[in-house]
Amino acid sequence: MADPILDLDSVLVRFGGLVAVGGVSFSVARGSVTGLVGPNGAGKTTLFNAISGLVPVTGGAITLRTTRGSADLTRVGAWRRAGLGIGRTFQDSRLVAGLPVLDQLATGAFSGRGRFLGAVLRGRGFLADEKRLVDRAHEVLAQLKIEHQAAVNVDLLSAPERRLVDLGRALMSRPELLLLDEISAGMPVEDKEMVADRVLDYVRSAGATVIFVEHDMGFVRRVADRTVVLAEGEILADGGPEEVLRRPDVLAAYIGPGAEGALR
Amino acid sequence: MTTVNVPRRVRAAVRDSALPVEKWLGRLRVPTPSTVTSPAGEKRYVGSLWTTAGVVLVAVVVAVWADVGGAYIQTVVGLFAAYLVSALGYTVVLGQAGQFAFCQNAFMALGAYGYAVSEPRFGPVGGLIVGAVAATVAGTIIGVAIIRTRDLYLALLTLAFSQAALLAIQLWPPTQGDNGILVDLGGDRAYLVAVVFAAVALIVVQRMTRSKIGRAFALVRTDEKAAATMGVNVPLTRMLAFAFSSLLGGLGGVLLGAVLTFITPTNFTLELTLLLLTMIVIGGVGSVWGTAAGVLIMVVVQQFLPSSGSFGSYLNAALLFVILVLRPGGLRSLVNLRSSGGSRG
Repeated sequence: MADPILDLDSVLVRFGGLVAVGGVSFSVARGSVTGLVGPNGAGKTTLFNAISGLVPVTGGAITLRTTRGSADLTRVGAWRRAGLGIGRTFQDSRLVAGLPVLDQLATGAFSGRGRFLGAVLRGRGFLADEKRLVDRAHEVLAQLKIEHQAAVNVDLLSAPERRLVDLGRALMSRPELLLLDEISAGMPVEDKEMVADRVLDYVRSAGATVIFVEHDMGFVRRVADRTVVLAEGEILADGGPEEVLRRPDVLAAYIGPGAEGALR
Repeated sequence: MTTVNVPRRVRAAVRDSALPVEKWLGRLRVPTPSTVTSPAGEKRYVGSLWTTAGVVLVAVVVAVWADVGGAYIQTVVGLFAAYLVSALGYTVVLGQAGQFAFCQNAFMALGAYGYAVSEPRFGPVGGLIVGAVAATVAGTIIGVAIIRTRDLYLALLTLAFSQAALLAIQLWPPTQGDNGILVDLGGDRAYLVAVVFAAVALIVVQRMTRSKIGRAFALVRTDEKAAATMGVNVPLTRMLAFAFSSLLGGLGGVLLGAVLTFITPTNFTLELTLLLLTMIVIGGVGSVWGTAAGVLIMVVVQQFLPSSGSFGSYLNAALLFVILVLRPGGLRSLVNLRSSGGSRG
């Protein structure tokens, strides 16, 4: 593949005797949208955690190449990866309780140094940084079309709205590689479509690359231009969503052999 | 600052569920505090200056009042200021960074005894530095030691540290153990030093809350994994929270010693941490102004207690119990109800 943004080379994650991800290799093209699907326990979230540095990788290499630098991620601490251009949302994201949406987004951008003295003395550089942060937050709010909620306490938002805020928080640092973990889970169909559209909007406007974990195949078909199927920690299928999701072995992995008809 | 329009159904729900005082408070509209410094850039800077000016003004008024009010008022004001410095440190580590620490009394003891032991040789400034450094070094070491320790285990570890530190202080000959030691910081003017430190601490903590560091604390408190993926160095942030709270704890300890003028290890038992805990819980854990209110309430309440006996501890525990059952958010949560939101500002 020419110019991949992310290269997984036999990535192995083992928890004691359990092999969660068993030597997975694939490359992700810059600007692509890849759906990562598979039954529960297939290792999708673990793979995400390996890319974001939340679980130690037992073997293999993860190479990231963004405009902010290239690195073998297995040698880089989790908190440094945001600065390299990785953004991430979680399946069970927790927003800071009691904070308005705008402040919530402000917690998302942490590249660059904090200025303790600047903060205490309210120096010029500090104020300029804060102003840039708030401007960026408004930009993201506009992009996600939730600007009217800027001052609303997140505790009062519905679950889909909170997901959007979580997405916005991840977008604050202008990630070049965005990892979305079941962002549409538990949403009604209209909301799923809305979230899908806004993710695609961001990809098109920022030229970003997205990998997402998803159980809703409608969402996958709508958003992904490539689908990777994981089962028991290994790649079962890889290709366009339509062809991959029609394969009998993929259906069998999801709902058990012999029951493929149920999905048709 | 942003003002939020509370949806009518939420307001109705609050009105129906609220205690009478909350119904009354609910009629007021208050701005939502924020962790962001400048929705409108420079304009917010002015707001921040007003806050600072307000704190300075109140400090000056209190100092003048104490000056003309005589020895008793001076002691009460000094106690308030000393407790406030320590409680602000405690609310940063416990409320803002979400670290279950129970060793603020040990930091205060380290500060007070560091000062008392070194002041005769190095003078008040040297003593202050020694006291602050002693407490901060201990806090930083704990902040490093707890990299893999959280929640209940963290609480146990800090409790053990608190007891060990106090015992060490008691047994170390220069502290004169249970015989006690004199603390001289500005003599009769100790309350003035305490008020100055309290005002500076209020301003620093309030400004820190509304900055990148305050946001890092909020993220670490809420979800360490999410914090890490957003670029927060979680171990460093936790260490900073401990270092900062122990610095304020140490300074507060020096000031408490200076106001009491004579200290023994019994001034710094775990009950002191419990007292600080009650103070910050009354105000709303993590809230800067809530802490000031909580400290004020507890210091005033203490003045009406018999000076001997353990009635104060019972009252303290009972208050803590009642607040945690009825209003876990403290006074600050009333503001939350009113404005439907807000950080720990």
